[in-house]
Amino acid sequence: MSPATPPKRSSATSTYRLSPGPGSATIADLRTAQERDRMLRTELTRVRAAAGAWRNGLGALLVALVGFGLIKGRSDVSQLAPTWAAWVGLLLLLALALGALGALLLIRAAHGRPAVTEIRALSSTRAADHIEALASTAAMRWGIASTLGCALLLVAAVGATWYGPDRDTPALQVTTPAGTACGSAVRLDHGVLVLKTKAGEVTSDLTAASTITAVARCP
Amino acid sequence: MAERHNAAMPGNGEPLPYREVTNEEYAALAARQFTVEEPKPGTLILRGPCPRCHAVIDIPVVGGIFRTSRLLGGNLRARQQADYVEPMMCTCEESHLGRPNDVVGCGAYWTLTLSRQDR
Repeated sequence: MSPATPPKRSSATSTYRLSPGPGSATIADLRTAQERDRMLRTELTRVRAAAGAWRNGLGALLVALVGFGLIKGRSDVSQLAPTWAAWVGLLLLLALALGALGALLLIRAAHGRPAVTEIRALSSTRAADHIEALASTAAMRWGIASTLGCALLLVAAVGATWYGPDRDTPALQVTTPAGTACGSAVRLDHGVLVLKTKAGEVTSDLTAASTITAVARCP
Repeated sequence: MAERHNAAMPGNGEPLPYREVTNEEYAALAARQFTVEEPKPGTLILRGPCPRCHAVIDIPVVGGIFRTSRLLGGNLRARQQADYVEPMMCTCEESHLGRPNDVVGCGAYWTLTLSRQDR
């Protein structure tokens, strides 16, 4: 057996020295090498298939979420309190950005990058495929995380829209000898004002009223 | 079937038959003649002539590979070491009589020790 060889061509940071392995190779070494070779040759195809499956599954999840959001509950953000409406808007914006990013990353993982490679850079197709497989795997992982983040934000936005407080509407507060009523005006009929309050419709005789005050919100 | 014998060198123009063979000289020849390229950290390309059939081959040596399970996690950790032994085989696409359908190469195999020397 010949002695160790001088250093071979290397990257900028490392050199590699090749020397014969210890002892004689065995049939187990051949089987290991064959299995690794087989896995390398199929790696990119397997990554593409997995990314396609994740893309389809997460797309179905998002469609289901949108369907879930349509079932019931408030659907108009303008009915929410302004602060809540702003937060819901922010959540929807982030969900849109994450959803678009996730979709692009999953499509990139499933179908590759639309780019031209310099032919000089193709020194080994199998190594290039492996590097592309690693990049696609990273894109798939980030795509899954982004899409799940989008789904989470959508759920938060729908929940906030459903359960957030109402927008305050200007109201009238009428004080009569019978007491004080506060609510939005429904109608005025022969000096009797009908107010919509939290307890229902309340009538107030304006001829007996001592004060009528416009308030931003009822106490 | 695996066997050991001296390197069967081509000479009569006939392609070598596929035979799973190894020889200590294979590893020595590969260590002398193969070059190492590192296109990306963790991915090496070993390139040189097969010690048996002399076809020029390139063998990627990678730190990790895509799987949907973590079976190969141990290998990823092993690759962090400065020295590691890599099983190698001929990966040529030449025609070799008797080669099974699902494999490549002429059947020659050997092992190499890769020693990383950081600068």
